[in-house]
Amino acid sequence: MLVASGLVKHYGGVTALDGVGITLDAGEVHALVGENGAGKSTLVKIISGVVRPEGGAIELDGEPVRFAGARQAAAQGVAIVSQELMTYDDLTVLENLFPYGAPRRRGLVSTREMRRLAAPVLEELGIDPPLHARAGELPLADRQLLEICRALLLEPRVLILDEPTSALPREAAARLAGVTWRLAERGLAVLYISHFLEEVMRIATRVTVLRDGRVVLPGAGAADVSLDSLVTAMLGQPAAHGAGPAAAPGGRSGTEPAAAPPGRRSPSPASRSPAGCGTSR
Amino acid sequence: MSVPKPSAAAPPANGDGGAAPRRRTRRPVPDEAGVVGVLILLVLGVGLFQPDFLRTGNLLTTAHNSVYVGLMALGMVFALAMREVDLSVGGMYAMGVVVGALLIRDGWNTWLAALAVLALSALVGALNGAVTTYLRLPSFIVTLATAMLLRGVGLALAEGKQITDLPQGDALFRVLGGGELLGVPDAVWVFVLAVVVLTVLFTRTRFGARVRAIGSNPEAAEFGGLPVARTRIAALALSGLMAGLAAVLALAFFIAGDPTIGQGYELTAIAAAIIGGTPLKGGTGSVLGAAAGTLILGAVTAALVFFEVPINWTTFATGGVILVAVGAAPLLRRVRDVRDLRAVRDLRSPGRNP
Repeated sequence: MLVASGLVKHYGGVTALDGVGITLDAGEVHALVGENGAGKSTLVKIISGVVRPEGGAIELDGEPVRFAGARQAAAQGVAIVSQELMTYDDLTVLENLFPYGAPRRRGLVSTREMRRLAAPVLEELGIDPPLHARAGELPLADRQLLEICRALLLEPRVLILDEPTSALPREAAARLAGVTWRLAERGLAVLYISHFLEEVMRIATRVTVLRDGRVVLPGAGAADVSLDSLVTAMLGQPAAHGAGPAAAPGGRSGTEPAAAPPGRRSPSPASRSPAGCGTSR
Repeated sequence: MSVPKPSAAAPPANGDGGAAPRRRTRRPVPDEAGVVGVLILLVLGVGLFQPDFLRTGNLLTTAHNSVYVGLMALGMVFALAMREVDLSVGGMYAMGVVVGALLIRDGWNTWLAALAVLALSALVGALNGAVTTYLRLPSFIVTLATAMLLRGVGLALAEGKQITDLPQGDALFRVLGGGELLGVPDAVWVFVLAVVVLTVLFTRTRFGARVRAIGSNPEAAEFGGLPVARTRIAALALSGLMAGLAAVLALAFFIAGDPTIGQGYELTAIAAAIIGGTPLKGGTGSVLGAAAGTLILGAVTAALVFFEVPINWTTFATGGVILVAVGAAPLLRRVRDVRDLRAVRDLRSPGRNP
């Protein structure tokens, strides 16, 4: 569905991406992992139109595309939920769901229409927010889910979730995992960026690993990759005990899978995780 | 928001929220309720000691006197809600009055001259926005400079004198200056209409939502591709337009072009907007609140006359009122926020009885 190839980007004298490519297929959850500074954020910003690459190409359904901004990318079906919280805390929950172009009736924004459009997405996420409350009054985790709602309302074909669970408690992350699978089953291509390798192993269909601005593991089937080999690909060497790359700062603890999709393997990360590798959350 | 619906596919781990019945939230009490209440209490309170204050004629005169700075306060809400400020409205007002008077004196149709003043004000406001945006300068500095430029242009065009030889019997002066509808001055009706239109614009249109969104989280607005530059230019153009409208009404009422008119009005307009619940940090605001804030300041000025406060102390007293009002506003807001937060928590609490 989306094919990016040969992407190059420098920031000053630093090479952020050096000929990176990635292929996202409909119906898959494609994880993108790498250490901090590996180029993950730059790659997703390029794919979502926020940053323009210096070289390379992006094709959407076989057609070359060049996004002038996030809004144009969204209009063509590529939506991103950013790592940074992008809610408008002074606006109502409902207004936050339609920041680009709220539905109108006789030229005025229609609250009723917004409710009607939002209802199925809220239903799908399994949440019931106070729609007229200011978004800033919601807890952090809820605001993150609000952003995911907003992205889904754009009816994307490619959905980029950049560290979507970093602020979520375990039950919310589990719910999000279920939603992610359902979206993929619906035919969306989901690019899932996370520091939490066990989460990646649970959720992803395929995994791409970046290291120092290059792809070191291109779209490997998640079932064919062990946690150890993933860590090795990220670091360029086997993980040393107690110095893992994916240590979660605070957040949830525990290693059991939140929920496994029907028909998918349900790994036991606790038994597979290299001891002290910091992949638990 | 984390109250799960019964039909949620993935129930929460603790399982205590899955059966929570769906509840509807009531819309929160409008932000303006407090400031409108203060206005009513102020008027009634003064009336208690000075019954003549409550005479319809006095109240309408007070309202009429507040219209000019009030219109600027309404426009200022849009600038402040975007984390911008427009210090040029006082200068714009003076320039508008002078330009309008000169055009009429030069034989222009009065209504056409009024339209020209409105167009010019909106254009200069848009220029404020364009310079702020494209030179990446704070609107505070840009509009401070244009305030002086505009007042300077007004003084130069009028050669420092009032322009008085205008056709007093003309329809513009009769209708907008001295006209009444249902006993209420037409200028007050214009103000009421502006409050209604701008309230709708601020709260019920995509433009208003963008203004508030950009003020609430500029980084998210840039990241999400909202038209930040266009919206900023439009918001400052609107602020200029409202100053121009005030100029047209003032010209129609005074039938003269005074280049020294409106000194300090920009600060009064900002104070009125802040009293009315539009914070400097942006993201939110209230057009109706700004109108009420203006009327509070107008009522205080009028009340000081009734209480025979020496004229030299009225400015001091007005400053004191502004300080008390803007000091009390955050306090009231904090009380309201705590109340709203409790309401949200109650709503989210699965164990709460509906």
